Amino acid sequence: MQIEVSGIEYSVNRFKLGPVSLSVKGGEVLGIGGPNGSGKSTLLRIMLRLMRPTKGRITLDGVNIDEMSQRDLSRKLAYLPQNLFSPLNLSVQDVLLASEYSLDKKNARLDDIIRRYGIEELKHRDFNSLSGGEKRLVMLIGAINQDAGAILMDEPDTFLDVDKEIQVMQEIMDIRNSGRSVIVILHDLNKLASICDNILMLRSGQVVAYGSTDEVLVPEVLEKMYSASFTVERISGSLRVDAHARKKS
Amino acid sequence: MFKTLRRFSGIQEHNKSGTIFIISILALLVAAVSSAFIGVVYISPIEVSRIFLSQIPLVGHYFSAGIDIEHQPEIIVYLREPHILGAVIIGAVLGVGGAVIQSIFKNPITEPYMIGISSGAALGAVLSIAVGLTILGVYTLQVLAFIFSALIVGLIYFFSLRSGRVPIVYMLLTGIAVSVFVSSIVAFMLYNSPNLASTSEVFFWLMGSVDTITWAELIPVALLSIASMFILSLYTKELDTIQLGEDYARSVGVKVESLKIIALTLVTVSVSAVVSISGLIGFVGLVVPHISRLLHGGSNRKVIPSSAILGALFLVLAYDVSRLVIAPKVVPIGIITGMIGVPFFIYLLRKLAGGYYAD
Repeated sequence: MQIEVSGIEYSVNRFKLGPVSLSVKGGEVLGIGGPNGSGKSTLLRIMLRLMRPTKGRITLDGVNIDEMSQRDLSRKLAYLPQNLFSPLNLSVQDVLLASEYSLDKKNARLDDIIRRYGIEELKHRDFNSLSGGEKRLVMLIGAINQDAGAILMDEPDTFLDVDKEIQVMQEIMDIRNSGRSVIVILHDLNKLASICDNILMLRSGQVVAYGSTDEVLVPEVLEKMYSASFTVERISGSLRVDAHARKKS
Repeated sequence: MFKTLRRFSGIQEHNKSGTIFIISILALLVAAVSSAFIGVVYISPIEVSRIFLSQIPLVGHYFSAGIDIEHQPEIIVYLREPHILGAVIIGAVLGVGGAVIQSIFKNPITEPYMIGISSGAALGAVLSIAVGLTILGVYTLQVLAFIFSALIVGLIYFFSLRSGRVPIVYMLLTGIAVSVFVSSIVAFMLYNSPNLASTSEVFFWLMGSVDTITWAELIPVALLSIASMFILSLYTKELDTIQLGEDYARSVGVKVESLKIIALTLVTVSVSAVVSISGLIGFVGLVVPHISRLLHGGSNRKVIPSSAILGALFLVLAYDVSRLVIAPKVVPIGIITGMIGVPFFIYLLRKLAGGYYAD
């Protein structure tokens, strides 16, 4: 699926986001990086039509998202929010059933996916009683289960144990290899380096850099983003980014 | 009993839920039938049963032959039956309404009265009693209570609109504010009312009672309520999804604003309808959905039907207590639901819910 974001702007109070333009093809991972408060989540929420931009348009396979029904949009874009809270005690299974609301063929895939992640024992637990990492995993499984053309993830790696983290990163690569698109917000520059085809860097709502991973993850760009010094080296084919405290001059 | 509840509460397997459903339905049936044995006039359970059976079409006349005691059939058929069935319908509607409102508001301490139903209905009732309006004959109070209840909810919804959407926090706060305003009007009208008799009548209505319900009142209310509850039960999946947040619900394809309009309309119609014939019976809408969640887990697939059954059961039992506690006087049922409901609920929360609800 082709995602086109052109000239998106959004402003509230003194915060101004954009203009942001980007494009993601099927089988591509776009990473969004930047310091806290740079507008990453806002951009993601605008793309999901959860917030209205003040300017600009977003199309999916050429169709403007404003012209799509809620159901059609959910078949194109799945969302992994930063957190999810169940105030009235849904079980893990209930939360996962919610994720496949607009799917036609139910359940078969869900059991499959629950088994694949080895969370059978969590199925009947109260979602709120899970640890942060377990919640994250269940939410990710929900987003994958939604079976949309693209998944928009807001920091999928937070709270995860290292083995689950590897599993999640592998899952993102699997989604990409199946021809679907992923847009993912990540703080960890090395994770951005390892899974993204392209990267968009935001700072205070403005695009600092947008391009291929090799183009964006260079010390000059990163030093504009963060007050630290960076070294970037290529070790056996993949980029490795190291941050150092900036020397006082 | 609580050990059993606790054991069930953590487990959400189908068979356990199924067993609890069967037990609750049987308990409701037994409670409803035996409730007809209680009353100022003693009528033996056997007589009551025969009167019940004599009402069954086609075969009824086999049972009616032995019933010869004067007035007894009338007491059962025209008094106890509509009162008990009224309690069943009202309890079910308040239970379901509570479950739906808590889902829509994503808040475990909300109930249908908080969106303006109670203050609106009270305004309608007071207009009819204190001001003495009789434009609609004997049903003026009921019709005005229903209309004003719906009007106030509509007004609160309208005030909460923000660019085509109703943010639920605004609706909750507007609901509280408008309710206080409307209650002030009600208090003013009562204060200014020429006769004190009307004031006591209003207070009696405000306390809630099923003891005056007639078949003529009950039938339209029951039809409206059953239709509303049936339609609401078709939205359990959407109501589960919206509990996880409106953004999340939208992202999985739920039309959140339409869902809110449909659910709020159906809750308003059904709860206003039952309140119009019973007055304000409190606490059922708050407590019953929680008991259902403790028994069946959080999904509305089970919480909604369970709240209907347990709401009905709770109100029938409360009605029994209301007739027995200072017999032959009948205490307004709303007093009983508060007296039984609150301590029971606090006990339940303390004993069962350690860590159950998230901070």
